Amino acid sequence: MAALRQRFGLDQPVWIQFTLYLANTLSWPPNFGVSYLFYPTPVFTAIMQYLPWTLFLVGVSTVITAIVGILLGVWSGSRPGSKFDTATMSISMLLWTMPFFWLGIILLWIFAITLHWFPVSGAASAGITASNPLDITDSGDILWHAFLPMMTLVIASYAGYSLIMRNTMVGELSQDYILMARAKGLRERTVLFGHAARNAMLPMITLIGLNLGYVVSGALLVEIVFSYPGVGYLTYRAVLAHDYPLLQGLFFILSLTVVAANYIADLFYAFLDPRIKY
Amino acid sequence: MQVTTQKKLRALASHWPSAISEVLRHRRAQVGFGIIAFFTILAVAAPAISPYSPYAFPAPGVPYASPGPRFPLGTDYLGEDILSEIIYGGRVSIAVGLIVALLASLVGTVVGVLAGYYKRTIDEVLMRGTDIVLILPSLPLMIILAAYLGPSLQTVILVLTVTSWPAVARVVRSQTLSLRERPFTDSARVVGASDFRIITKLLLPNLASIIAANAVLVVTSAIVGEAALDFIGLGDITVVSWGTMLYWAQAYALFNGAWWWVIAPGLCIILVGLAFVLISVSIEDVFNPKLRSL
Repeated sequence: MAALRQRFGLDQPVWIQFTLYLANTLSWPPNFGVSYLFYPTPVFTAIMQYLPWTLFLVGVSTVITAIVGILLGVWSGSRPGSKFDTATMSISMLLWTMPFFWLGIILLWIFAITLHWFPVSGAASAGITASNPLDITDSGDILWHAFLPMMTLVIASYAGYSLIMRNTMVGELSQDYILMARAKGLRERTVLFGHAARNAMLPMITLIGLNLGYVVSGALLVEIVFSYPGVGYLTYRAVLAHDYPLLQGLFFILSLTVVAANYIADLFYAFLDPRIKY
Repeated sequence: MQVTTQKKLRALASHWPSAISEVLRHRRAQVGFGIIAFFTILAVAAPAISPYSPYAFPAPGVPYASPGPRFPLGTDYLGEDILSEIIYGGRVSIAVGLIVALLASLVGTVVGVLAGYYKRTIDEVLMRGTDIVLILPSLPLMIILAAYLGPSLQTVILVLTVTSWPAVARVVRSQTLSLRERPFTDSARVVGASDFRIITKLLLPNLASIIAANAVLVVTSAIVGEAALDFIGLGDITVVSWGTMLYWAQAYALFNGAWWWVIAPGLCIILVGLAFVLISVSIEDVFNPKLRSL
């Protein structure tokens, strides 16, 4: 027992442990210590095996979510008060309060367990040892496994985009330049997408960055429901195994990813809108 | 038009009862309050209404009984009555939501008002702290805090409060920044009112609507967050709440075809969450007439 304590450095005073921990995270590859669960694998190595799958889930579903949300927002924003607008707004609000994991369980139960259209768990079929989601040879199998988790993320998070996009569209469409565009005799589609939507898109960039923390949180839960081998599933296993070094490492990496993504979104915003200067 | 809305606003700020009745005139708010009243009555009167105890031993029915006359919502893997679990579970879920909203609004308001009122260094320090908590992904933050504090109801409340207050602080600060530049704040300062008096007598009453609208939203996110923590197993899994029901259902319900066990708690979470969102929207509608044209 004493030897084990020494091996994990738990015999040192807390402040020495903490200083060492901080110093170690700055090295490359970052040293978060050794995982209890996957002993003797270092925490960083363990996380790096799971992270690509989460990035794949979050990345692809964010793109789909943004497109779906923006299109719905443009459509309902261009005819505020119409039946289509009221219907989409009400459904969006309902989906907005829906817990990610509950939606995941429902989809899992309908499409995987009852209808057998999609696999119940995992990221690839048994026998396929895809090391990362971009493995071209098995992309069909990988997409088949990723479909339900991604659908869950899209359905549960598109509402944030569509609700805001709708309101910005309503605002933009009452501007003078839209009247001008219509007076020029441009087709309605050009007015909507070429003029109004382009301007209404700007806040969406910030929103995508801000939403990322929310989507990552959702992805963690969805991975647990679908036993998808991403960092969420890893977090779940770390919680069950009381693997504190692994948990800290996960938290560190996830936070870093979200902060970095926000930074990129800000830079991108400045690039798209020359009025913004940092 | 402009003058009348301004007058109306001022009247609203000084007459809370009329403001509340104004909110209640909205169809959305009526639906929201209706749903909440329904679930509150269920929760408060649980021992009287509930057909069985959710902790009954031996369990009243056979495991995985489908919904029927004896068990309207079926039974779980132990044979416990799902309806009774829903009624009792609402107690925990709604109580956690309300307590978290109260605590988060308290912390968020204090931080936001101080930062907005004193500006400069205090603002910088408080807001950088707020931003850090705000930008961190909330669920991983909750998980790591809960993992260290150990699973219990207090942990869930504390963890949800920690992740909920920054949003309130941000909104309150920006509103305070605008309020402190208004003429009435200047005149109060000229008359010699202390900072404490200005904050409590002038700023807080004017902030009340925005704090209320946000607090109501926090209830929704806290109820969903509590369910998520319970679902991962970081809550107290021996207590019956809508979240722990889903925790056990995830493990046992699906492969035994017990869909009723999954549907019921999820629908309750969505309904109550939606109710609070509807109320929040109505509060904003009443106090921010600009939104009415949308």
